[in-house]
Amino acid sequence: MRCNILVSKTSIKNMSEDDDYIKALEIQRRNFEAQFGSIETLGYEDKSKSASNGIKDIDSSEEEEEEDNFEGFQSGEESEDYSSSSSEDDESYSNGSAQVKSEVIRPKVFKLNDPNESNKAPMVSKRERKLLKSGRAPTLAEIEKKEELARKQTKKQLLKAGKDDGENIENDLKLQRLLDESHILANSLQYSGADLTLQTIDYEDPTGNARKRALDSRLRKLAAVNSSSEGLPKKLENMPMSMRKGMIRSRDMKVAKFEKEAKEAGIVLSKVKKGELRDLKAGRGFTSSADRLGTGKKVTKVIRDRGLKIASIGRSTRNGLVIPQSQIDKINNQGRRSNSKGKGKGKRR
Amino acid sequence: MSSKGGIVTFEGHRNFRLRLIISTLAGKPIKINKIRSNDVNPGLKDHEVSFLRLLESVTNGSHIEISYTGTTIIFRPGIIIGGEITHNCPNTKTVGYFIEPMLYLAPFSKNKFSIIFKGITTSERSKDATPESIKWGLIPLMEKFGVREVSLYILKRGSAPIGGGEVHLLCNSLIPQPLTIHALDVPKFSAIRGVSYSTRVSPSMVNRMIDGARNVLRPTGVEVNITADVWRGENSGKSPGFGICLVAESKKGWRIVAEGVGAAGGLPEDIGETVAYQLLEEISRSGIVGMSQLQLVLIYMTIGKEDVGRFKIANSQIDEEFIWLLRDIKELFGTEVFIKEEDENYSLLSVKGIGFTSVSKKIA
Repeated sequence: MRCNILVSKTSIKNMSEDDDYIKALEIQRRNFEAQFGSIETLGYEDKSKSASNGIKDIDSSEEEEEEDNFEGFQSGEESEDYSSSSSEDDESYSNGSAQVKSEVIRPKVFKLNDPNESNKAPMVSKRERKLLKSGRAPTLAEIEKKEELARKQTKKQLLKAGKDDGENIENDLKLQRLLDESHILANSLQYSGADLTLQTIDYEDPTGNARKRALDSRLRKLAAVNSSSEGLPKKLENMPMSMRKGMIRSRDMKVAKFEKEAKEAGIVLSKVKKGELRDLKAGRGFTSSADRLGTGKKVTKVIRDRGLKIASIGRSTRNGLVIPQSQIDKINNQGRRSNSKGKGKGKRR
Repeated sequence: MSSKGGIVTFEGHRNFRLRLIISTLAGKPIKINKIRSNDVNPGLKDHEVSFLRLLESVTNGSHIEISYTGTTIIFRPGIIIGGEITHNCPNTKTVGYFIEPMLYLAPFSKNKFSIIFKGITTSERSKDATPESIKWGLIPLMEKFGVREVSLYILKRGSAPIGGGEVHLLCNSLIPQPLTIHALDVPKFSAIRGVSYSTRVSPSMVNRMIDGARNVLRPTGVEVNITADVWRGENSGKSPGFGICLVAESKKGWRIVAEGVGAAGGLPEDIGETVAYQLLEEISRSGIVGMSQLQLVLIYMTIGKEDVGRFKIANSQIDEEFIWLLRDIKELFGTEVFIKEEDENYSLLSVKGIGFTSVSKKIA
């Protein structure tokens, strides 16, 4: 039986709330009866049977109206719109009217909310795992503090690492120049009107001897890239032999005296390389004294000694003995014959 | 409840653990009679006897006399010693039943408490706290009172009915008395965190529980962050089970806890939703702390220095259990609380401490 009255939405809702309650009671009653047998068999009077007949008509009509109002709402067992819980109840809602009449037990269908739900294990981050294992549960403030500390550390580390510090030093032209010219600048006396302090000495723009020496050292450094003697002059200044000998002698004596006195006094001097002499007048003066007397440095010859050129089998390389194919053939008396019959450039007589 | 010749007498099994604990703290002997005298199985139950044994092992010099029928006990407390103890809990109650009272005694003992509880960690039938809710709800509260180094480690989980769980309670801070707190503002909760655990079931149960809880909590607009805790293999106990514990946390560190354990044949989404709703209801009903934590707050406030501590509670928290708690406190400590109604929802509770000092530290 179908009522064709237009019912407003609110009244449908109100009536359906009562409906829900009644339907819930129905379900409970059905479960009870399924377990213990019908109420009549237990010896009680079924009071609801007389009253329920009247209600059921309204039930079915309301349901049909609801079905018409809601599109895509199918009666039967498919109820995809419902939330996950009480899906069992939903299934019986739609079958409410039909099921009370017949005692058919239908299979329970649980349709849960998310069809794409993955059955995978949950991903637990390392931080969360630590939280679970710990004995206390830290407050939000503590967790925030820890995170901030961790972030701060990495920033510090970043600053320290400085994206290849070595490269920076290499590229720092001013620093390199300062390092190279440190002796020159230190030994120059640059007065300003004011007191001589670290601030008043101009490291970037020296004057006088220091300037000449600084420019000279820079040029030599550039020249050292392509020269065989690392920027040092190949020929020393021309002077009489006795003068040169005398200067060298005096230099050697001075260096020896200096080193002896330092050793006796316990002063630790800078280390000098093996073949070299200590440079006592490191940055002083107009030109470097090494230009006239030479440094103690020895520039080794680049050409390697190949040994005596004796006829032998093969070449001796660093990978071993290399014997060319021609020699092998010669020894084996094989290979392409030099004089082929007829054709070829034989000796014409 | 009367006091005759120095012994305070109580009746019935109500607040059994609480009365024993308060008597230990106060140092006064008590007598409890008519324990389930009208019951089919009269007298003490085995978990209560087990609790008495535990109390005996953490204290020194305590006398317990149980009558023949088990309906009367006389308890003369000694001093709280503590130390390293292992306690096997019976199958009728979860370990939370035994851990909770220890939290009242642990900071005031002579040696640090290091107790391993073995038994069932979570069960859907019991209403006692699970180790999760103790860790997230009660221990942070103790920190507010000055007991900072308490930690609870779950070494093995054990779901009902067989169990097989191990929980380790460590209390490293020993203080003479708790601090006096003044908590006058109801906090706004800024985040909801939680733990969703499972033993010997498919790991997807945990995700489903979290989904169920999230769906309910999404409209609140708060940050929800539930950790998943899947236990496998040996450490997961002997029976399958799953549960979830949600904590609403405020910036100042006050927390409200709600938890639930899944029943056999239940859907994890259901339990997730139920617990989420429980949490929301708990937040609406409570003031600064929830009902489960209020007992700890009251006892700690009572045994503070002789200073008035203030605490804000919701009017709905003043219920039957609350009144029984206050009655027991008055019987043994002799203090009353002063509740002043501030507005229609909240009241201010002030307690003057009794000037308690932990005696165990001074005596040998």
